[in-house]
Amino acid sequence: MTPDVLRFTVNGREVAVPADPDARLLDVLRERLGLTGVKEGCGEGECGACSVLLDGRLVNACLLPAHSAAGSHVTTIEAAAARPDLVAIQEALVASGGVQCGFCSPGFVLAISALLAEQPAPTAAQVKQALSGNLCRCTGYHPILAAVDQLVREGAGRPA
Amino acid sequence: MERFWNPTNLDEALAVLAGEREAVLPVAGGTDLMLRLRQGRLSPRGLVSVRRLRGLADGPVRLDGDALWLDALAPLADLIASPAARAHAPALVAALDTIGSPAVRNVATLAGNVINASPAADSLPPLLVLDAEAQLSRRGGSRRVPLAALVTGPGRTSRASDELLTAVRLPLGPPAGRRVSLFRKFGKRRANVIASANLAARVEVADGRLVGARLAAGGVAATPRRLASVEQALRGQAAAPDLFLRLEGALVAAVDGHVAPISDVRGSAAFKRALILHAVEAVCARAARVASGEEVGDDA
Repeated sequence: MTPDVLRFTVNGREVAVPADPDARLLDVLRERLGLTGVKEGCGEGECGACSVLLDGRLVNACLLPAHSAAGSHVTTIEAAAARPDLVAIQEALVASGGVQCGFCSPGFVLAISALLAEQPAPTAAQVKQALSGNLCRCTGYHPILAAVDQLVREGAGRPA
Repeated sequence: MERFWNPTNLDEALAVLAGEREAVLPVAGGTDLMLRLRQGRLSPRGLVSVRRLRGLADGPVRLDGDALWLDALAPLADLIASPAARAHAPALVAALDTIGSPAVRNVATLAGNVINASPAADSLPPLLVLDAEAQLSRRGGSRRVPLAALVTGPGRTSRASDELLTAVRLPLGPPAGRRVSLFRKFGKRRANVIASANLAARVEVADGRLVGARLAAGGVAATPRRLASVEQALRGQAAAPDLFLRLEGALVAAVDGHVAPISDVRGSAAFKRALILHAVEAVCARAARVASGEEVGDDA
């Protein structure tokens, strides 16, 4: 197995890292780049803990071949350090009680961000569908839905 | 695995497939294939990514006189968002919208869902109902195959190892009546679930009768299949509110004649038969509501 060099942009920074041909994007982000905000939950695309944005679209980093991200822009939760819109989503989740153990939170923040980027005033059904690939075992979801409502009311959480 | 090819154009991808044949597999979103790789159920020498390729030149969906063309290499989300696809193939769009989750639909493709050839693939019943044809490209040529001939068994297709499924063609005939399209998927939850059973239908209602009836079901046989004797039992019948009850005996027999479900974690054989019958009842009920004017058809 020869690790080819994978070049892509992560949170605005261009990177070039060796990656095995069968590596997942998740492996590269966590093991090579130290972006451990990306969680591995089920490893089968069921739980959404590994959600990242690939060219602005929500994807499961546990299912995506790393090399198919070549040339793309990947956004992980670590982008929040420089993104007030992501911080607004985090704060809304905290305020509503939508964060307990926190393992699912990075995925939810990015799923909510992807939703609001596309749909500034989503219907309740659109919110539920947008978050349907993210599992939370703590909150029972209602506080998370309440956080989205609050963000929509305040016009917050949308990328600049 | 030794190598990951990431071609930027179709010719390049087809050249790799022509050179490597069985040793490599095309990969699109990887949403199913990556799992099977990790589980050791597949061990190709390499993967050829189709993520940067497009099967159609000008956008994911093209309306072309007598046919609707779908880019089989585009993310499902792009097909779902297409107004032309929604207008001309509402049951197919409804089916695609049940596949996986939003994150899956952002990278998964029609080519992947079809070539995976799962007995419960959600795209296959509506594609069978719509008489879809698959466009398979290989270096120096392409061919068109009816979907029904492409999917030959569970996980098996007649795709040659140097071919890529690039586009799907849906012929658009003039409707014989008001159209009623329906897709039903039964599972434990709405997202990220493999169907216990699924059913797609397109029936046509004129002068209070069912003048056309096309139904296909998945999850209940080795491959998704048309329900020919259910179609026959429905065709020509008055689309009245008692349609299902009036024909129940014949429909039960017709469903039993076409489905051969296995009992597994997604339900017993008897349960899956009941699900299909329930979906047929929903088709009858909608046809009656459209016939009475209580509800509009797809083309209203």
